[in-house]
Amino acid sequence: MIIKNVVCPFCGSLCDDLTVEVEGNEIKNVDNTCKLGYNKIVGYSHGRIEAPLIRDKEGLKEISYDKAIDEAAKILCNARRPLMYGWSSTTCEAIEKGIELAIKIGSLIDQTATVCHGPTTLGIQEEGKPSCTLGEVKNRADLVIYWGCNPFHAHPRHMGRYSTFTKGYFTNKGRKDRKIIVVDVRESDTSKVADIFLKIEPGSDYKIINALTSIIIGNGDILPEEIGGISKDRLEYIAGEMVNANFGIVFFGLGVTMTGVKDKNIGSLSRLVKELNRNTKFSLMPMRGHYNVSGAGNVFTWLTGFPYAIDLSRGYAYYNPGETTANDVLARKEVDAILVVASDPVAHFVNPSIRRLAEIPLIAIEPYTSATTELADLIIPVAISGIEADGTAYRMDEIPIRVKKFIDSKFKSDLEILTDIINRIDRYE
Amino acid sequence: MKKKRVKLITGRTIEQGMFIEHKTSKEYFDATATCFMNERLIKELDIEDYVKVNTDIASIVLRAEREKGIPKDLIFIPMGPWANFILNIDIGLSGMPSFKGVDATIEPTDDRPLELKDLIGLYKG
Repeated sequence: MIIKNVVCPFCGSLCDDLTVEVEGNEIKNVDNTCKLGYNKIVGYSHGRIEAPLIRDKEGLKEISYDKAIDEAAKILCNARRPLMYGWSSTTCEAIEKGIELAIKIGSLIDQTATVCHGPTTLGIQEEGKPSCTLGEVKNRADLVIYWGCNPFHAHPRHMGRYSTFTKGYFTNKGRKDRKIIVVDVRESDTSKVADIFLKIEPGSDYKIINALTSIIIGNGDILPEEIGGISKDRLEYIAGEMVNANFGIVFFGLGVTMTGVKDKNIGSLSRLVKELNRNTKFSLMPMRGHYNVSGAGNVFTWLTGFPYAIDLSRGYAYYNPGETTANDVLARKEVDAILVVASDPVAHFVNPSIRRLAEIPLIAIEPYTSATTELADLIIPVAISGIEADGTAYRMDEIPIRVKKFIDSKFKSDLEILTDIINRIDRYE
Repeated sequence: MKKKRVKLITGRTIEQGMFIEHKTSKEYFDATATCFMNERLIKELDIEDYVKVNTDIASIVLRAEREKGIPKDLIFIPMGPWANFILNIDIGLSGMPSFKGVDATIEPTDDRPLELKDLIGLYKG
């Protein structure tokens, strides 16, 4: 059976034009996908955890699903300071259920933006985000800036589908109608296709963004001759390109959120784009990594008022990144149990946080053997959302798209497992 | 033993992403237990196949790989368990640890990178 218009459940580009060939209940092939999506979809059956597992002194041993739900409910109910973490690779419906569970047990809840675009959230809360959809970029953008990101590796079809090589209504010559600028600390496959490559000094983003803003508002005379490894003349040229564009867009990645002054970089990028909008039309968009990390931020915000790092232990939602963010509460050894859903924090958190994860009861709802399952005390295998379970996901431009289920699974979905845990806790209460 | 101070950045690569759901595979190990460096830096330190990267919190041994486009005073490690083993909390006020622009020293070594299971085992001690 050939299934068309399948949505790829890998990155925030959420490409919705895949063609999947299914025979019986097995995926045989995928077309129109990048290497990342291909490996995830075709490799869906490789290395799966086949049954719920619990750790004792001798290692992991199989238990029934019912017993696993029971153990999960007990761990969460007995914890004084639980944390629920992950959420970016599951559906909005499951995330909504996760918030319900967090409210019920008075948990901290955080999502993967905390080690990704968390500073973006802080920056845009201070300064706003003049933005647009990827459709507008495709049809209108004649100046595309990729700042601190490498879409060739992290979002391989982004340039082809939305920004660079594609033809749009006002950009019907495709690549010839667009100027591409890449800003990074090292050459990359993305910088090789750029018209202009600004190789900046590490950590100098804030200085360079503010220098461009100064030039654009007419205060360029106060700048030194070189900023962050780039000459003032070259920055004046870039500022001219920005002002003279018909429709410009800055896509930015973790090269901006993770370096130097982090959230302040994003605030200054937003101010730059706002100033550009006095002259022309310009937009700003984060390159979101996991396919539904944007959805996690949206669902968290509908239900609690805040997009990540939320403490629900007080009976109301309390949000203070730097205090309630996952790495902080772990490194301070506050957290005494953790539920991980659709994520691998042992692979992607920093050393002091992982040391705490090794000390406390860790429940992982996870389809594959991962770094987190190596430390987990209880593992509940799950259907893979976007392949074996359907639901809603948000693209990086915050457009909701329905991800499909195209094969059956013997495992329950994240949504069903979280529902079962809530029902079990209700029975105890 | 020659040592050199560098800035460490971590990030995605396509190979790291391709095998991210298969963390115990050889392909994921090859993709992430690797340190990309400028060829001149490799020659200067007489690094053969492996490099030891030290930060304020820990040290890790990685396979050394040449990369042309990277500046001489910078090293790049694909995101994952090996890179993060040597990263500290260093969050400032944003809740975001520093995954890029971290101070590090590098030196040649004859040791080999740890397998994932052994690496994670270090956290249990």
